[in-house]
Parts: sequence; C-alpha cells; structure tokens
Amino acid sequence: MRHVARAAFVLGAAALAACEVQSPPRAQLWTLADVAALYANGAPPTDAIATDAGLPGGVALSSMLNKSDPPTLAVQKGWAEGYAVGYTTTEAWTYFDEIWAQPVYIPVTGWAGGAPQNQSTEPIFSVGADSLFYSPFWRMIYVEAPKDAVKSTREILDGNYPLHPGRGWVAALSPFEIGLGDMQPTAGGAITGSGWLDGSPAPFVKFPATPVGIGDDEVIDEVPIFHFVFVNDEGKWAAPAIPSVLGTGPLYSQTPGPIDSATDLPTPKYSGYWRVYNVIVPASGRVFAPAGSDADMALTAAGVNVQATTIQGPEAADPTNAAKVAALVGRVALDPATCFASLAAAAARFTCPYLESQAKIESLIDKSAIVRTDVTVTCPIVSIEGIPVQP
Amino acid sequence: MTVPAVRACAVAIASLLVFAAAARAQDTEPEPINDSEGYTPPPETATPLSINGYVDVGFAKAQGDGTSFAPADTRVPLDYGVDGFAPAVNARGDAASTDPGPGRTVNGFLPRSAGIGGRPSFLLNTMDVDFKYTAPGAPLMVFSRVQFLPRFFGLGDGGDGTRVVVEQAFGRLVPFDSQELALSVGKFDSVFGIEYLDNQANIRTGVTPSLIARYTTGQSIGAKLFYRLQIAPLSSALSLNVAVTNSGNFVEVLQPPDANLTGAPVASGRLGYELNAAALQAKLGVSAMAGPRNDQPERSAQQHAYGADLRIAVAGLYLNAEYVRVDEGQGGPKTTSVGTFPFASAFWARGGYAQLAYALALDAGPLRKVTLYGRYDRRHAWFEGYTAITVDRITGGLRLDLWEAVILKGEYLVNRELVGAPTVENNVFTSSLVYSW
Repeated sequence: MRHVARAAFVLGAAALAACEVQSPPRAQLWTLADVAALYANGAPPTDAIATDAGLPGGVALSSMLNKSDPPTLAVQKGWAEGYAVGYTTTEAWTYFDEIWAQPVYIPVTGWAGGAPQNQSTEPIFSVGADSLFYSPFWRMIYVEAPKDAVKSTREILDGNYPLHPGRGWVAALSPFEIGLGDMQPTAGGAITGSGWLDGSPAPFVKFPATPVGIGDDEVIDEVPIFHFVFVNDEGKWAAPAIPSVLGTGPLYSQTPGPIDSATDLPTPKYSGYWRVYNVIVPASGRVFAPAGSDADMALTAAGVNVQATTIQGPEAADPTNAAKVAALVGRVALDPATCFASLAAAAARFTCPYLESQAKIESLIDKSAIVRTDVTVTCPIVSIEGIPVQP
Repeated sequence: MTVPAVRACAVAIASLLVFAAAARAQDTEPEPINDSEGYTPPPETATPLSINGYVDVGFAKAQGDGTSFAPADTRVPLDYGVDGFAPAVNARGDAASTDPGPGRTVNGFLPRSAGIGGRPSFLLNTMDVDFKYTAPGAPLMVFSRVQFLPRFFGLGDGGDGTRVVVEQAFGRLVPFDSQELALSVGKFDSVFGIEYLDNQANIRTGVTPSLIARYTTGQSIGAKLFYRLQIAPLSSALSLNVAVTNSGNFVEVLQPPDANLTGAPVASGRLGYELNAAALQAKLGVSAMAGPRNDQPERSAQQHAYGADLRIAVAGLYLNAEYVRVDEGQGGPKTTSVGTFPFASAFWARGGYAQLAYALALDAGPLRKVTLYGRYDRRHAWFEGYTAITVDRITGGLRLDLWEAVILKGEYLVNRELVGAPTVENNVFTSSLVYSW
C-alpha cells in the first residue's frame, strides 16, 4: 500500500508539473528609481529595458538617465513638425493598454475669486512609484487645509477639507531629486521638489509646461512617437538612436501640431505620454549622418549602413556650415539623391520630404510599415530649437 | 496545452484512480467511518441517498452607500486602498455593495455584492440543496452541494444577478475501517485553518465571516487526504489534512476554483492536535498553502499562506481564534470569477480574529439554545506601491436555536479604518433566519 501511494504521488506530481501553459506577456513599468537602481548595481548606460515589446533593442538606460553622480535626466533629440526638440524620458511601460491619472493634492490656505491662495510647494501624492498603477500624470486637486495639517490621502479625506479639482500635472516621482543637471542652460521646464506620500517625503521632478490629456475613467490619452527602424547588416531590424518624430494625435487623425502662431515654432504642448511606433524605413531611405556625428555613431553601433554619402567631405566639414549641418543631422529622407545633393538642397527642409513629422510619415510610409509596439513612455519636451522650455 | 502535456495530465488523474483502487483492494472491510474535518453530512442514514439543505433569509442595513469607498477618493484602483469586504451582510461574505460609482476604477479585490447599498433590505442569501449518496457495500460517499443565490443589482447595473453555484461535489473513499483515512477527489472545502468549518449559514455561530475568511475559506477542485491518529490514553488525537487544488484556499471571487489558470496545482494542508477531555475540548492547528496564484496565468507568480488556529470549548464557552499571513507575488493579467482586470499586483496581508461565544441550552417551548457571541477581527494588508491599510472590526450578536430546524441570528458589525484607509461609515446590522431541512 505504501509503495502504491508513493508511486501514485510521484507520478501525479510529475504529471501535473508537466502541464505547461503559455503565459501572456507580463506588464512592466520602469521608473527613474528603477533605472537609478540599475546604475547603482553596476549596469552600463548601454543596457536596455523594455526589450521584449516590439521596439528593437528596447529603451536604453542612457535615454532616461545620465550615469553621473548623482544621475541626471538625459535629453534626447527629436523632431516636432520638422523642428528639433529635446525631450526627456522618465518612465517606460511595456504591455500596458492604458495608464491612469492619479490624484495629487495641493494644499492651499484658501480659495478666493475662483483661485487658490498660497499654494504649498509640497504636493501630496496618492500612489507610489512601485505600483503598476503609478503614473506621472496626476489630476491636481487643491485642498483647503491649514498649513502642514495634511501629508497623506487619508488625512485629506478624513479631514473633510474643501477640494477643488484642477488641471492635469506631469510629475515623475524619483528616489531623490533628479533634474536636468548640466543640461539646464540648453533645456528647461523641469522643476525638482519634494512632496509627501503617505506621510513620508516624496522627491519628484515636474514638467509644468507639458499637458495631460485625461479621458474617461482617468485613462491618459496616448499619442504616437515614431522610431525609425532599419534592416541592419545581419538582416535584422534595428532601431538606432537617431532622433524620433513626435506625433500630434492618433494615427491618421491629421491632428494639427501645437504651433505658436507668432513664431511658427512648436510649443511644449505636445503630449507627455507616447505610444512607440516603429517606422520601417524603405531600402531607399537614408539618414543625414556626417562622419563622426552622433547619428553616424548610432547607425554604426546598430550595424546599419544607411548614412547619406552625398554631403560628406569638405562641405560638411566647413566650420561655417556647422550650424546648417547640425540642424540636419539625423534627418531621414526617402529621396536622398534629391535631398542630399548638396547642403543647400538638404537645408531646404520644406521642399525635401524628410520624415520629420507625423503627417509626412503617414503620407510617405505605407501603413503596413508603421507598426505599433507594446512600449509606451513619458517624454516631456524640454527644449525647442535649442531654446529651453519655460516652466 | 501540448499533446505531451495532455498525456501527462491524464497520467496524473490515472495515478489517483489507481491509488484509490489499490487502497481498496488491500482492505475490503465493508462500512467506512466518516470523520473528516469540516462540514460533512451525517454518515448513518437509512437509505443510500439523502437530501438535505437549508434556506437562509436575511435582513440587513449598512451605513453609507454600503461600500467602504470614501466619496471623494479617486485613486486608481479604488479597491486597493480600502477594505471592500468589511460591510459584509451574510455568511457568504457578500458586501452590502461594491459599486464604486461612475468614473472610478477597481481591480478585482472585492467580494460579491448583495446589491442593497445603504438601504435596509430583505435578502434570500442562500437556498442550499445537499445530496449525499453512500454506495452500498463500498467505502465510498458521494456528496454534492448546490446553492441558489438570488441577487438584484439595480436596473442600471445589470439587473438580475442570480447565480446557481456548485459549491461542493466530491467523492470520498475511506479505504480502511481500522484507520481514519479518507481520500476525496472533486470540489470540496478548504483544508486551511478552521473558519471553513463555519462556511454554511446553518452551522456558523454568527452571521458574517471574519475579515480573513477571504484567504482561508474558499472551495476548490482537486484531491485531498485526511488522516487522524487517535491517542486514547491521552484523550488526544493528531490529524493531517492535505490537498492539491486549482486555486488553494482563497474565496472564489478572488481566485476562480473551477479551472487551473497556470497549469500547476496549489498545495495546502493543516496539522492539528485535539484534546478531548470530559470537561475541556481543545484543538490547535497550523496551516500552510503554497503554489501559483490562480487569478493570473504565470506559474512564477507564487502565493504563500501560513496560519495558526485554536479552539477551546469549556462549560458552554467557546473560543475560536485564528491568525493568517498571506504573501502573493506579482503576476500577469488578473482574472477572477467576476471578470478580467489589468494586473495581479503583489500583495501581502496579516490578520486574525478571536471569537468568544457562550451557549445556554434551554428547554423552553421551541427554544433550544441561546448563544451570545462576540468577535474581534484585525487585518493589515498592502498592495505593492500602494498605501498599507489596517482595519479592524468588532462584532456582537445573538443566536437563537428553535426546535432543531430553525436558527435566528442577529449581529452588529463595527468596522474601523485604523491606518491608511480613509474613514468611512460602513458599519452593518445584519440578521439571518435559517431553516434547515
């Protein structure tokens, strides 16, 4: 009897363990704290996160934080309606169909004429960055409470203080105060501070100029950001670290960009929350990447040989052309023979069909080559044409 | 599932059947004992088939809107920062309401709802029908428990929500007359702790389950083995109750028991000691559960629970106490018996209760027994990255046993949010009239 029981148990346990099932991908979130922790554990900036969700190579750590002491926000170059912008990346999600705005409470001493009085600089956050329900997109709620009376959601709700819903707010929680560091002269709009979470200090970096679109059930509106993907020397897809293109609205919605009518330049009112789309560049596509430029090094590192070769040598190296060259580096053209015939031709941005805006990508690239990934990111704009965004 | 996996699963089932047959073949004594822990129907019946059951009619009134949600709370998900199970109204643990209201999001950490909100209402909590069949000449008993649960959630929220639930359905083999050994296969009660013994309204001393019942009292499908060793000179016994099931011991609204979502079983068990002296009965136990959480598909998302329990009966006084610790790892997309949700978050809980009851036996017309009882519950829990909460509950109640077939119970629950969760009005008065047949 004992042997029978033992044999049956062993057989049963082994058989049950063999009942394999296929699991769907697990949703994951990386925050500034996670990347800082990876650095602290020795990870190099070239390591990547979000590598399994459709974006070739994932999101490099160096695209979120500079590995310095202390770490600072990294600024990447992108195109917004063809203009060069700088943006930071503070969170990356994989396999999230949606994320949600959470309440953040701003203590005020009173409310007069429809306006808050004496706003506290110490917001009270409601959800921590360890939760998968965390997002840096907050619904601001002013709370009329005596100074220093509240430091947690419970204290606010229990106090029955008057609440006044306000606008959306972008503020990434961080393990310590992480800002733009040395980038501050050329990039701006990021303000560090410290608030409260369940009565404990909560450092953050906020981006007051970045809008937040909050839909039904507090779901955050997402907008496409386009990463260029090429077939590399090994025949595989590669997404080199050349400038991405910031979209303006849902795909094929023809949403106009937030342009300043006075200057005709983009404003920082682009989305802060983006869905990454791969743009599979046709074989004819080339990147303006003079030898030794960041774009050239990125293409080389990715094993992609698509540098435009027509404007190389003396014209590109002439110091008097440096500004023109810099403004073009990283642009992708489908008609390199025309666009890159000369520096003058390349600089004629509005006649050369660069892939530098959502509208141009949608008109020049086949739908099947614009591929949705399962990666979403927080990317507030911090500079436009080299001018720091103002908070 | 792959073909080899299907084959392997078949082998597992065949193994259990072979084991049962082999055990029977080695001992052909005719009539088994029936002494498993937990609720089981009476073994000695005149006919092989018996039908029993009960009807539980309730009347309840909860404060506020019947939920534990603070009106101004807009966090996502709303159910992570409060205890939605607190305003319970019946033995099944249904809350007066779980409606978060428009524009607020929850993530599947809620009980079933009675749908009455803050309005006083009669309820037909449960209509229970039990079938028991004892195979003549075989040490086999087959038992099934079907329950009808009439509910209504308002015309704007689904309307009729009546369910029919197969709460238990199992066969139990007792292979040896000389040993208290029973093997059950099917859907059966938990083996963790002691509160599952009181799952049914016709057995539970009071009306509502404790704040930790959600972790320990769920039924599931699988196989279990019970063994008890009597130590007569010491008026004592040792018992072991172990099971492998789809979902472990969580209640069905948190982890569906009727299918295995990970393909790997959950193991659970309790080791118990009992003292059965003339003047004092005492039972002690320790329990454990381990395996993948069955509210998501990943095997690597493990859940563990540990518990300890105590029961003492002396001179009409009954003390029941239990403590449980629950740890759950993060998993994939969440699936419960009420729907799908974005994530199965990592989760931790520690809690327990102590219940003291005094029963006075009477012979006053139809009144057979009067029981006065009180219970204190406390629960501390938190989801990863979310505010930790501590709540407690004070329950006081009275139970009257009339004839042998009617029980009338009434109790008041004082729910308190001590730490983390916003304070809300969610106390409950509830009562239960149980007809057994």
